[in-house]
Amino acid sequence: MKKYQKLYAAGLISAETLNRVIQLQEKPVFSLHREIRMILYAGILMLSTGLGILIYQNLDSIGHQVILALITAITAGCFWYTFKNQSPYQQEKQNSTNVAADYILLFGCVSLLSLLAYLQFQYDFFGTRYGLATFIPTVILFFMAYRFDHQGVLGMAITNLALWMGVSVSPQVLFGLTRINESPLIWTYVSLALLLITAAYLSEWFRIKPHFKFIYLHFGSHILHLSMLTAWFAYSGSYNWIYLLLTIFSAALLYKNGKREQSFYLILIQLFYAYIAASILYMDSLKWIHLSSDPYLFILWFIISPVLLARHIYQLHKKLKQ
Amino acid sequence: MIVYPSESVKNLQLIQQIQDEAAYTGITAAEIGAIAKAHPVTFYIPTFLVRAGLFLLTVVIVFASSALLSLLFGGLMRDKNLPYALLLFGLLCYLALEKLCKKYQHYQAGTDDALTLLSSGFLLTGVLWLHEINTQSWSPSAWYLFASLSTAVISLWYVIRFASPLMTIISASALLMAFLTALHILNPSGILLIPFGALFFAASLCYLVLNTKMKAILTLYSSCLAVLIQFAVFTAGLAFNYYVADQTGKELSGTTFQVPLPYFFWVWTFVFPLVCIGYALKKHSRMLLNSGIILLTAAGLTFKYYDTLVPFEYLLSGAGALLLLLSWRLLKWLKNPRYGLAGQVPFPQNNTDQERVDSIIISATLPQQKQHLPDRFGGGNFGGGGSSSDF
Repeated sequence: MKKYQKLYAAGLISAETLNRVIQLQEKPVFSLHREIRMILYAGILMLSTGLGILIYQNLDSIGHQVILALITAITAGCFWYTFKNQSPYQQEKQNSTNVAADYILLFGCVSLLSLLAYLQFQYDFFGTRYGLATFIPTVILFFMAYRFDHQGVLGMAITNLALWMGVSVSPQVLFGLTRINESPLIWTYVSLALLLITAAYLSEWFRIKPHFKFIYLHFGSHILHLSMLTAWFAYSGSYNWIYLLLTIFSAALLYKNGKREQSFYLILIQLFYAYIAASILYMDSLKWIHLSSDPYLFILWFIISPVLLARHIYQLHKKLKQ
Repeated sequence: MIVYPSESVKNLQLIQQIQDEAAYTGITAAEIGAIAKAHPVTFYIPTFLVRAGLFLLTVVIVFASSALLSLLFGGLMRDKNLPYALLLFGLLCYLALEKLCKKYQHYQAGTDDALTLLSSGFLLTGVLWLHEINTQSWSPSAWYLFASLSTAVISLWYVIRFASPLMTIISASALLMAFLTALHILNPSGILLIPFGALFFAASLCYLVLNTKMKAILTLYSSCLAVLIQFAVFTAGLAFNYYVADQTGKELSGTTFQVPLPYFFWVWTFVFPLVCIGYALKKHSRMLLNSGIILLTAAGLTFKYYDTLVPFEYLLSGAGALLLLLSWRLLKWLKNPRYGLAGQVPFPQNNTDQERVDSIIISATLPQQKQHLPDRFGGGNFGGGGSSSDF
């Protein structure tokens, strides 16, 4: 309280602000907003996982129709609640005032995925049209994400889009670099990344949920750079350094965009991947000039290059802050 | 003693407090800007991501420099000289840290975090290694006591000099370990002394930190003091946690150990976090509330570890449903503020970054649909070389 009075006396805050502080002092308020959100998310995660295991283990005793009816009821109930309680569609960002509806939508989307997977697994609902089994939920998830302006559901939709294309974008798979170490899959990942990056720019261009651009670029950047680096590992030909150059080039383009948007997250991702590509290129070039056995050249790279990179990050951060 | 100019530290504390309270006071961005202008802070404080990036790069630089030094002076850094080499690396890192903080005013910037950890790590390893060579006849308990005290002393210096919250936790943990080891040396059969000792330690720490005189003297270390209180709460909560007591007992007196007064330990495991949460809601303490929630989660995990009656999936579904119901009721109940509690903040701040982080977490953690790819080798449920089915 005293500090606000001092700030008011110094003319740094308005009388209105000081009055609010005085009111707050008389009638203190403690918000549990963050904690309730945390409990909601933990509840959804635990319930969906627990029910998933429970259903899987009791398929024979519960009966398929009962399980289907239960999941359908949960999904329909969640979507009904969301449609009833959320505000109408807007092109721009909507500030959600109903926390429960946000999380219930999320729960509904998870249930929908379980329902469709169950239908396909048990009743062969989509027959041999496997693409359809992932395409339909992808379309529904994208619709839900745009209709209710939910970035979490958009992330789920992108994950499903990847599944429809035949690849997985879960962090374990992406950073494990195991499954994508297969040549045809690398190009599927590259196509997916380019599609996402295009979607990011189109969102901004047409002003349709422009704030979704970040999510598209987040997935697009990681997938593109990781698949390019994996291509370097997978193709051991004498021209595989081209993939490293492509990584640096695409990182440079996205870096420019990150700088324009003042998004330090996007800038750092590009610097991170470009640095890895540059380091591999340096090691490779040492091999070509028959100097790879010299430990000093190896160590000096890892002293000089991080110093330069740290200096660049430091200066860039200071510049963007101003 | 602190390496940073005290005026800047105080100004930073004021600005951070104002920013933390903005969601309640409704102070405008322009007013915060004016306050920041009138209270200049000379530090370089980057965002979390930049901090993480600078941390990683500093670690790479330090390890590469150590490798270069080892190559250049390889002959000197062998066998018995290795502890001295570690001490030298530690000293060099420390000098770099002093320069970064004093001249370039890096404050929780990643570079200073990395140098703090690496220099203290090198120094501590050097000291312990050197000591091990000279005191091979020491008993394990005496050795633990020495190691804990050395850690406490070295990290305490970093707390005094750089006001580092991380080093505060390390220092307090080492001091607690030293205290408990000393208790065990004095009375090796008194296993029950350990939880009481931990509780005594936590209570003493709270008493010291909450002492108003101490608070006035240590204004520059307010972040360290806050961390110390949280540490004391965790120590008190875990001191009588059933799992911690059981595992500590088994470690010290063999696998046949049975926790004495098990009901008391079980009651404490669940009641202490609830008391913390209740007290936090009454006193409006976010720190205590978070500690209570974490301790309650620990209590749930403890129950899950020992419970054999309720299957895991039932427990998970039940707990999930309970949490959903609880949050639903809370949202309804706190639609309008009651008893000083609210479901929303009075002046919501721009939370774009938080939404982005949430969406990334959701896509990475929520269950995903599996791919429905055709089986390439379908057909045949039995037969074939002794394999049972599905081949």
